[in-house]
Amino acid sequence: MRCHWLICESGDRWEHAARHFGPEMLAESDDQMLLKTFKQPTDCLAAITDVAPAIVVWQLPAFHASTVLQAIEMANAGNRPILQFAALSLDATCGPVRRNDLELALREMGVFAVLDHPLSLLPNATAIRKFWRRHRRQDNLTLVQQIWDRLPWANDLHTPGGRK
Amino acid sequence: MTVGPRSTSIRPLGKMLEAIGQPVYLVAADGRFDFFNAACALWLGADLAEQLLKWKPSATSPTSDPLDRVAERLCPPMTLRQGRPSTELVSEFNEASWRITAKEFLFVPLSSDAAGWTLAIGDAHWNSEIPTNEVDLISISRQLTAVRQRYPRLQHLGPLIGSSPQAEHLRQQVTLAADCQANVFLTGREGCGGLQIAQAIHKRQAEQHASLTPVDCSLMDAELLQAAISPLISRLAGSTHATGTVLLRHIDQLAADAQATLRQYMLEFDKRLRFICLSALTVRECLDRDCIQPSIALSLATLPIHVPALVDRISDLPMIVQHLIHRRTKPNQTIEGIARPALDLLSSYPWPGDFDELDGAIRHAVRETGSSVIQPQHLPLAIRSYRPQDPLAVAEDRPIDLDRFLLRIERELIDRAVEQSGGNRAEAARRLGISRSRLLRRLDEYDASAGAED
Repeated sequence: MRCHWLICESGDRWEHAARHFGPEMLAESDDQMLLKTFKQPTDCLAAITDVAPAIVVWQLPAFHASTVLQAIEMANAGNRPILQFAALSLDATCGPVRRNDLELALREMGVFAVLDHPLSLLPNATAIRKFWRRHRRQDNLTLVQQIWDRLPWANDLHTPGGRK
Repeated sequence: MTVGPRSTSIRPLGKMLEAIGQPVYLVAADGRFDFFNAACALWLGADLAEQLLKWKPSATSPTSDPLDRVAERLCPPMTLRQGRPSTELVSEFNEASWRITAKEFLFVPLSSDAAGWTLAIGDAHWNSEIPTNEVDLISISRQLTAVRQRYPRLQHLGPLIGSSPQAEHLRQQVTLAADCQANVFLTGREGCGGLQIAQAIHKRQAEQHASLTPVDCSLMDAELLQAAISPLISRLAGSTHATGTVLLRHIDQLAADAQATLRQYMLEFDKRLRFICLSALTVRECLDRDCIQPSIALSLATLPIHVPALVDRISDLPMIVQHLIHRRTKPNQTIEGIARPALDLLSSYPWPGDFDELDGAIRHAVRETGSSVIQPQHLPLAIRSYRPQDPLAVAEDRPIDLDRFLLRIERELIDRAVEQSGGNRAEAARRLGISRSRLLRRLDEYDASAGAED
């Protein structure tokens, strides 16, 4: 399975983080991690449609903060199989109450978790693996398997009265 | 590597500036450099940054000292007026031991008096949004308001539309849930519109600034659940008037240790913390399969609501379709409705993706149609190629006709390839590895057999 990471950031901090930790978070050993980076939120949003399921990391604050936020919400509203992370870079200037409000708002918009630094990806490893596993089966179905699933008797093997 | 700060009085500011990924430095009013952050030290070179911190402006000017010439380039522009930021290009500098590349800096005076520091931020543009948390909070607050305004109102909810007894019952239950503060347990197939219903139920609270925290239980362990809900918990702990809603998706897949954490929050905040659950299984099924602890299930399911599958209320389909067309039509479009043959196709389709799939199909059709009426050819391929009596799709315990079956598969592949090629049959033939004439022959045969069936 191809596991896509889409990173929208101005620098390369989160790209490095994803390259470093992403491979450890694959569900199976034969899964392949693919990473794309974007400077523009709109480009990242367009890519989601092409590659989902995907992990999407949005850097915040950004020069285009409002565009990033719109992109997060649009990606969420599209009911796509994605897991969105908001990566904060200026946490040091933000007090705990504001940090809390920020995270609460971002989660309501559809962000799965807020990352303060690259290491904060690690606690999400289990969730990311589960996410890939959930989408693995649909992705892995070959056409032959899909055809087989549609045979009139395909499900009989799983039912008590079916053929063994 | 961070260089400085030279003065102890700016160390707290220096710590904050260290975290910034862009080059940042501070210049005192006397022209001395007090701080270079790691990115700036990287840009200048650590050695040069170290030397600049020790550098003192010379009394005579100009001098031939290369360090003076670098410092001159880095100093704020003479035109910088007190209190008003200005952007300037720091020009390129080449010397035997030092080299700096050109970079645009935003110079911001930190105080209005002449003795204050000037902050220089690289790669910044005054006309763009300055990346501060202040700006972010404003943007986020604005965006969140927009998000909450888009939470659907009950009367606009597609799954609630219809005149069938199921639709009527669902409307009554959802209206009741929206009017009270009780925990709600929504059950239904994946894609049944449960998420939109949950948002509509929460809307009234949202208008009173209560937060909605969505949690995908299928991905959670106890720690992650705690992390996901903790911002809301902090808010509740900080104010006795604060309320909030947690939207628990796939509650039937929540790990046992996470359920204990959930139980703890339920007891601690009682009515101030509301739960809206989405599940493929009913409460009874969850209990029978030991998916949820009984004490939690009972607390969560104060108001259980079952969202019927679209196929179980197919008589509502025309009204729902009309509603969705109205919602999905763009301002520059005029779509009056859907043609009878297209509606027949929608009515006979089994809707495995339920309401969300129908919404997606209408969105596709609205995008595809160039006329005022949606025709069958505007619908997605999966729907228009579906046949109710299709031996491939109907699970019946009877033998298949292998030749017909394979022909059907071949046809599906050819249809897909033609669609993927944007209607270009030569390209479709190339993708399928057959000649164009063979592809055309096949398409003619399909048309002929379709005509014979009609």
